[in-house]
Amino acid sequence: MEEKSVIFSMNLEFLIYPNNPLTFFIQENFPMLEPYRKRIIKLARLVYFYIYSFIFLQNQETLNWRQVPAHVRRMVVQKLDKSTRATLRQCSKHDRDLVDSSPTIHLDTVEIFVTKNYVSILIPEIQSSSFIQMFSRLEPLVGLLRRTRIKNLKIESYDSNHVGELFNRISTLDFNLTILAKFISWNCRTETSRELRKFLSILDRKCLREIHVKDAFLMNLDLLMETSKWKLIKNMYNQDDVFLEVEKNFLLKKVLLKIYTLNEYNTLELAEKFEIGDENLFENCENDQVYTFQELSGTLDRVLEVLEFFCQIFKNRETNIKWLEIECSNNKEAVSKLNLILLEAQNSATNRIKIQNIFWNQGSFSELSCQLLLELVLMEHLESLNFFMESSEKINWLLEKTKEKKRFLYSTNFVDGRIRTLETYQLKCEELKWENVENMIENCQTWPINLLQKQRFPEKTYFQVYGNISENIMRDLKHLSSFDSENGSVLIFNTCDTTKQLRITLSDGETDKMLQAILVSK
Amino acid sequence: MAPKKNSAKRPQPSTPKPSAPARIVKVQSSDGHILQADVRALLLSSTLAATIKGYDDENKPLEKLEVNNVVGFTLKLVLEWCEKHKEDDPAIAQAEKDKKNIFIPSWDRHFLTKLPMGNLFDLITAAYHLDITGLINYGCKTVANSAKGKSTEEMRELFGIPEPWEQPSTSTATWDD
Repeated sequence: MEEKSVIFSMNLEFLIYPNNPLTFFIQENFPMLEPYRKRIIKLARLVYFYIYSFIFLQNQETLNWRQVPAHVRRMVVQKLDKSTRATLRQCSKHDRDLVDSSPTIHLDTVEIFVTKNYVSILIPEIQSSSFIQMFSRLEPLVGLLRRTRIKNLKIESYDSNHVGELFNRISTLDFNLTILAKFISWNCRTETSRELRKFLSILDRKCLREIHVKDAFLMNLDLLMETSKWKLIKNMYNQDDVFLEVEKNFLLKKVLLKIYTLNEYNTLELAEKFEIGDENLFENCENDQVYTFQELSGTLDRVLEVLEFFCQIFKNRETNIKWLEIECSNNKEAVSKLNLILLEAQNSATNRIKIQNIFWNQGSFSELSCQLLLELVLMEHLESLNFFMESSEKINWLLEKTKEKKRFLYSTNFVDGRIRTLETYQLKCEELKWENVENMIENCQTWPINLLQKQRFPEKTYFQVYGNISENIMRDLKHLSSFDSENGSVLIFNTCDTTKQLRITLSDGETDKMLQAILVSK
Repeated sequence: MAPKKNSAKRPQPSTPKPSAPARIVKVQSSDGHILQADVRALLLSSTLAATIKGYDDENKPLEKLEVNNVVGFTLKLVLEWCEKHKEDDPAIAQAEKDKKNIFIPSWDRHFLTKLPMGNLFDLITAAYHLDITGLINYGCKTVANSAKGKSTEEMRELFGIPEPWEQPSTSTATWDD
C-alpha cells in the first residue's frame, strides 16, 4: 500500500512532463531505484527543463518589459525600493508614467498644484515632477493616490473651482479612492468648503493626523465641523469670515471673532468683532490658531453665544487678553448688543481685566459702551488704545477719560476719513485738545498743510506726502535730514531720525504750494 | 531560539498528502501542447478554478482545459509551480499581495532566478492571465530583486527597454484640451 502511494506521488512529480520515458522506467524498476528517488526526480527536472528551454527558446519569442501588461508592470514597480524606482523612472517615458502611477508604500511629501488645465505633481523624494493634463491624463495621479501612504500631502491652487473639478474627475475615475495621508495642508485660498469637504471625504480616517487649512472662503464650516475630521484641523487661516460655534472652540489660543449683519440696505455689515489672543489662556495648544466668525443671517441671535463665550473668558481672573478688537457698525441693534455684552462681562468679572491692546473699530462709538469697556479694563496694563472715530467731542471725551492714565498709553490712533473740506479740518483742529495727546506717537490723519502750520506738533515729525510734486520741491525735500523713498506720486520722508514720530499724511490738490509753505517756515 | 519575525505568515513547505485522491486533468496550451496536472494545483488559478467549478456544477466530465493565452513552455512552468504550492493557504498569497518586502521560499527562489528575464516576464504574465496571486507575488519580487541596485543603462539592458533616441514619441497631450 505504501509502495503504491510512493509511486503515485512520484508519478505526480512527472505528470507535468507528459509522455516521460523516465516515468515508465521508474515505475518498472521502482524497488531498485527507491534509494535514489530524490536524485532521479531532480535529474529528470533538470534534463527536461533544459530540453524544453532549448526547444522552446529557439522558436518562441519571449516578452520584453514593454509587452508585459501594465498591471503586472505596476505590481513589479510596487515591489521596488525607492532608488530603483527612481532609476527605472529615467529609463523611458513609459516607465516614467508607470512609476508615477504605481502605488508606492511610503512617500514623504507630495505636492499637488492645480491650475486651469494642468495638475502639477511634485515628489521631491524621487526627484519627480510631472505635469498632468487636467482633462485627459489623470490616471497617473489616481494611481499615485490610490495606495500610497503619504506623509505630507500639499494641495495648492490659486484659482477657483479647479480643485473641485479635479476631485470630480478623480471620483469618476475611481469611486473607492481613499488617500492615505498623515498631514494635509490645504492651500486653496479661493475654494469653498464644499471642495474641502469633498476632499476630506476621500481621506483615510485612520491615517490622518493633522489638517492645515489656508483658505479664503470657508463658508460652510458648520457643516465641516460635523465631520469627524474637524478635530484634526490644527491651523486655519482665512481672509473672509465664517461662523463657528463658539463653545467648540475653547481650545483655541487666539480667536478672532467677527459678526456680520445685514443692514437696512440689505448689504452685509460688520456688526461685532472680537479678537482674543492669549498665550496662557489655552495651554494645551501647540500652534497659533486663528479662527474667524461670521454671522450671515440678518439676526444677531448668535451674539448671545458670543456673549457667553466672552463672559467665560472674563470670569477667569487670571485672564490676560493681549489684543481685543471690537468692531461695531452704526446699527443700533448691534450697538445695544455690544453694550449688553460688555455689561454682562462687567457683572460676571470680579476684577478688572488685563487687556494690553484695544482696537476699537466702531464707526461712531457710543460713549456708554466705551465707558463700559474702560471700566472693565485694568489701565495699568493697557499698552495701546486704538480708536477709529469721527467726532472731535468724542475724541476729547476719550482723552479726558484716559487723561490720568495716558502715561500708560503707548500708541493711540485716530483715523478719520470723513472730513474732506478745509473748514471742517480747521474746526476739528481747534476742537481737539492736543495738549492731552502728548504721549500719542502715531496719528494717521489727513491734514492740509496750511493747517499743519498752525498746529503745534510734537518735536519729531514724520511726513507722508501723497500727490504730484514738482522737481523744485523735490530738491528741497531731498535736503531734509532723512529722505525715505519715492514711489511714483507718493513721497515719504522723515524730518527726524528717531522713532518718536508723528505721521502726517498730506493729501490735497495743492500739495506743492503747501509743502513750499512748510519748508519755508522751517 | 527566538522565533523568526513574520514566521507565521511565511508559506509553509507543502507536504504531499497521499491519502487524498488526486484528480488528473489535461491542460492544453495555446500552441497545442497537452500537459497533465492535479486539479488541486489548478485551483490555485482563479480563472481555471472558475472553469472547473463550472464543469462540476453541470456534472460534465472534465476532459481537457484549454489555456489559450499561455504557450506550452510557460504553462509547464506555471503547472510546476502550482504543483509545488497546491497545499499552500491562498490567504498567505493574498496577504502578501500589497506588501513591498516578501519572503521568497528557497524552492521558489531557485525556480524563478534560473529563468531568463524574458521567460520570467512570460511566467508572470501567464500567472496574471490565470490569476495565480502567489506566483505573481514571487515573480514580481524576483524581477524587482534583479533590478535592484542597477544603473539606468543596466536596467534598460535587463528589461529590453530601447534607448531614448529609439523610443517613439508618446506625447499625446494637446493644448486644445
